[in-house]
Amino acid sequence: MFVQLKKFMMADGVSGDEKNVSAVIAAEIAPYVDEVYSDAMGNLIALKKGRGENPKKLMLAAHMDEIGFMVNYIDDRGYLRVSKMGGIMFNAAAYAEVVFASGLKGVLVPEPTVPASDYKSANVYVDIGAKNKKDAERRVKIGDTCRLSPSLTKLLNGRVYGRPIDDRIGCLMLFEAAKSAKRFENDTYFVFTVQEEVGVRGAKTSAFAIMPDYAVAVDIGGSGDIPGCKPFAVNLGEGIAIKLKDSMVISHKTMVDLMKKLADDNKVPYQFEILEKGGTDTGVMQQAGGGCIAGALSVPTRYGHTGVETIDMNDVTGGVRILAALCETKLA
Amino acid sequence: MNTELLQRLGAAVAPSGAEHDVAALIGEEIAPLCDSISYDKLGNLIAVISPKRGEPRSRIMLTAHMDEVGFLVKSIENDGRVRISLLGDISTDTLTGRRVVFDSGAVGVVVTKPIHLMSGRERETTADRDGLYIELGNTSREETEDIVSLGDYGTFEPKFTRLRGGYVAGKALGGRACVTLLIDMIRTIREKGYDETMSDELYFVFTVKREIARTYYGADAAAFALMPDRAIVLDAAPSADFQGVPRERRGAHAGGGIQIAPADMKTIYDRSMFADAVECCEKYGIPYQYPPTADGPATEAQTIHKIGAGIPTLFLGLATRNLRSGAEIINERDADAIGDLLLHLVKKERNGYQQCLFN
Repeated sequence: MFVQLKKFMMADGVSGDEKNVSAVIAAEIAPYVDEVYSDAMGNLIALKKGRGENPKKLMLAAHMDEIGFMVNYIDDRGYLRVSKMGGIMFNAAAYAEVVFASGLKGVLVPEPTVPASDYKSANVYVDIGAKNKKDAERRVKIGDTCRLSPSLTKLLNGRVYGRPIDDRIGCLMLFEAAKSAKRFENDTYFVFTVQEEVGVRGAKTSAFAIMPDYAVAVDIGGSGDIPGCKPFAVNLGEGIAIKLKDSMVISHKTMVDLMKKLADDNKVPYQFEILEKGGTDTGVMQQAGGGCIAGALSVPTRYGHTGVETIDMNDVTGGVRILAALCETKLA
Repeated sequence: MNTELLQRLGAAVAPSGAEHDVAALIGEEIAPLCDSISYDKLGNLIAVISPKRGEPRSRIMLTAHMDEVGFLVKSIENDGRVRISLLGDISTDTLTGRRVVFDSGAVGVVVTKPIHLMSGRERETTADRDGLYIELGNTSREETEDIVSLGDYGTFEPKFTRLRGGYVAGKALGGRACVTLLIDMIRTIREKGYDETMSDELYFVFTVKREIARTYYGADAAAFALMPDRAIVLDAAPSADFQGVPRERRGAHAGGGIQIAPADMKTIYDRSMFADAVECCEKYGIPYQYPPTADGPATEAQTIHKIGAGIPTLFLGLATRNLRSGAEIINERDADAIGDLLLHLVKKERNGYQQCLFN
């Protein structure tokens, strides 16, 4: 799974620019599904048809996009000014390497006199080594996006850190579920969504087109076991988290109970997540058309939205088993 | 751009929710030129031009909003003064001391505490919204009630001024110039016979309730009903060319060309439409510029691009100084540039190969 995850993470996909990661996932998942296609916004949809008569529609969603930056100005000396794409923190990204889809590299640097707490797009710039504006414009256009350099490294006890684990880990879990489910009792739509980080936009349009009966998002969550954090009853390595609520959704009781039962049946450890701040694709999927039975699985994650997002792969393995079991359950 | 038409449209009183007067003017202009024209339930005016030959390749929606910022009459005081509730995000600075007109035809002046009586703190802040009132010259409630009722709409007194260098000033000019551009486009398509060879069906949507929108725009209803293949949103965009703004934050300015945005705080514009628009401008020497940041203020595209299964959307901004004031300033050359670019949607080259936008 580590190698597969790395493959998904190496492909770039800042919000709005998900083409490359979409191509990688499409090629990998194609052998395990009946149909793979993209929609107008760029969401990637892999459909595995269910057996039997009148199967229900199950939508599993993980977002392909990652936080990053968009070039909005090139100055006379060839420095690039950038806007944030999604909830990336300048102080967590400062003095680090950034990389463009073209392979071009640069470093993100704050102006020297600015205190770290005040870093913002007005006083941070990207240095690509250009000699002047013209030189820079040969390699970069306004509107181009860049991201923190990707990485994935093993720590102790099956834990790993890197970027963008948010949410390639969700993409991986959908892929592994498609691969490992023994049979599909429902029309299962594996949806790799776009533009989640800038306001759950892609899930809205893909859910409208699919109009699912059941929907589950898979994304990173938080972790309450780091020094100085607020009380939060989720710990790394204690199992995948079944979402009860976040700021955009209250998970459907039916889905929570079902996932709990599947976890118990498969002897998979789990926790419950109540996220005070932040939302996922679940929020908009639940409201598609006449509404659906929606829930989510969250991978307990330390240091989200930084270059060192840290997870425990044991939590991931359990999550995949719940997802596969969900695919194998005939939904009514 | 047809500035005579702009002047007439700019003079119409049409704050959000009371767009009927300007809608009627637009209807008169375009009804003889379009294949069909209709209103939806919210009041959006929808005009269609279909290709004369063959099935349309795709359906493209173009939007410009009809409404403007203004106010509603909230209460009429015993002394004959009128208290107002603002429609749209307006700085009270732009209102105080201004002449205003009501949709009933009444005229008045917005009054607040004179600077002589202000405390030091009051001098440094903008007037409180609740502290504003309109003076009509009456001294009793009854007199005022004869000419103004609760819920009446009003806005800045229209006054169209030609400045030098192609700049024009007046209320609501940024938005109405976009409306004018769509009307110009409709007229040009018919006069030049572009409808004989164009390949897309065009939906010109003159929208309501843009200025009071937060999460729902009048345009949403039209986009949902039409479900076009693509959308192009035209609107005024703030011009940031005043002193005090650092050079790298200035970006688009009135007179600098079409503002083409890669993204703003609520929308990432369709990557290929954005690239196509820039390429087309480069190819035909149409002046264009980028907004100062990729997280600027939202547009109608905020919701349009997420309607249904998703609608690829492009934003073309008309840089406007003093946006949302009684004297918005635009440059005719910028408007002409937008008009030129839009025609590349329908224009065919001599060799029969369609260049330009969205091929």
